[in-house]
Amino acid sequence: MAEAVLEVEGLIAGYGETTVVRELSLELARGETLVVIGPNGHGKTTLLNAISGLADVRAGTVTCAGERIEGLRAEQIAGAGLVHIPQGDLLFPSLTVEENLLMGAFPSDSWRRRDEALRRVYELFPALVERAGSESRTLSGGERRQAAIGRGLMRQAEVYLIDEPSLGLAPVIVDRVYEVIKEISRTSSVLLVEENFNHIDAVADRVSVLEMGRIVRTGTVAELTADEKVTESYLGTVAVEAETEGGANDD
Amino acid sequence: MTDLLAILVNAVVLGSIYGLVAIGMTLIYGVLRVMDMSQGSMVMAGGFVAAGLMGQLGLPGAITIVAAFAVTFALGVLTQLISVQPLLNRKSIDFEMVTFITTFAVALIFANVALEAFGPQQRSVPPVVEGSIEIYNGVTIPYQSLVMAAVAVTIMVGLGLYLRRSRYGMAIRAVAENNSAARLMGVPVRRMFPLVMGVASGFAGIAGVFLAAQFFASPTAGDLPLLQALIVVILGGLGSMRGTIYAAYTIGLIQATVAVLISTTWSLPVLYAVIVLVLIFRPQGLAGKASEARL
Repeated sequence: MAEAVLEVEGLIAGYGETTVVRELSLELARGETLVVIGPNGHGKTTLLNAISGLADVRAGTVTCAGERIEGLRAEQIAGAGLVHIPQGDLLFPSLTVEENLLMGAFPSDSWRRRDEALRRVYELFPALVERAGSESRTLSGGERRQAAIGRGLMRQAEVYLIDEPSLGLAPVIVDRVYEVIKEISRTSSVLLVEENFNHIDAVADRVSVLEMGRIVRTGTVAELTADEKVTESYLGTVAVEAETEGGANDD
Repeated sequence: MTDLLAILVNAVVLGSIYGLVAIGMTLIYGVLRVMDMSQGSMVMAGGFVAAGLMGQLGLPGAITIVAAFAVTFALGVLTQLISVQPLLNRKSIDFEMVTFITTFAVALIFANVALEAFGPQQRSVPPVVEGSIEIYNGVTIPYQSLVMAAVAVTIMVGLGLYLRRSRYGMAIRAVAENNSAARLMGVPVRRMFPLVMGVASGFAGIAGVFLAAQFFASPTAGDLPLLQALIVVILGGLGSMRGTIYAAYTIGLIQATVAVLISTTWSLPVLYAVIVLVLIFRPQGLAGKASEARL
């Protein structure tokens, strides 16, 4: 496997008194897309928050592009070549869509290239062009997700952390969003979190299953969907099609 | 006609000075969620800078204004570092209430230091600009008031443009709306807080120069402006920049109208009655929106 661009070792993390992630380790190779799936409340979002500096890291190490980043503040980590596109989008509601995008290019090196980045984001998400001047509070759920991902793309990074990009979206928009993720994965490494296998087939190089704050299985989509224990819990439409051919029970 | 003109002129002058003190409190509340009770001290400190530089040394108004800004900027940064920064991200405290008290404590310390250093007496301060102009028969307006209104409006417009157009201005608005998301964008939130409080305090310091020239410099000179700014900020809808400016001029207009048509004795009681009525019908203030809409 290629050299690791993101390494998490023995991570224990949570918020305040609560521990959510318990001794979690993973490695993201350069250029790889690793998808972490698992039930809600088991630590997927906390894992990403711990890496990007929003959750409290209690023990363990996080290394990004050779630099130890655990314990740094989120605004310092953001400058270290890592972009976190959070769940629930976290847009700035009374800033316009374009202002939201521009904030994505806040660090000075990306600020200098903001026009170019803006053009690229509008190419990837044409729906945002006509909403550019609207306050982001007025966007639909789908537009909001596109704006959030677009904002993440305003900054060139080696590693993109993306939290449940398909959550609550209409299928057409999910497809668009995943096309863009595929596009990101061509030039960067991606650590993506989803609840199940539904949409990840085309992007995932490897999949890890996160339960109770730990990674319990890792493998390719094919390896994991062949494992009944895994498919029982995380059966998505992709897996269903594959399985029915093999004569497994549907529903 | 004379009355109408007098009312309008006074409303603009009063509204501008209220706006100048209140806009800083709004900025601080919007970004930090701190109701900064030390802003009155900044008005007071600006007054003493004016008493020293314009009064004793005879320096020109422009230099005094810059110096007052610098001094109160530094005091604002200091206040933030003492009474707000240590409380950031502390678990299980009511941050807004605790900082309300800690900034108030700092204000009391400033007032007592001033009392110790300069004594309790009121010092008169020469106007920033001498002279006055008669704009219509019987309606005269001191140049000092004109300059005060012009400076206040320039600062408010400039701040508005800065917040809309510049990279850091946009980041300040972003922090006001979603601290975590702003940090994920790489905005150095912790470094920004003292600067925001410094700049806001600097505005109050500039207001202090004009107010001292109009009234006096004294250790208690900031008390009434603080109360008035609080009223403006609350009437405007906490943390709303636009609302603060509406509220400042509304209050200026009410006060000027009552003062010209009835008497100055009645201007404050009528004003407070109107504010109570407004807040009964619009508890969120004139431009107050849902909690996510700030600045």
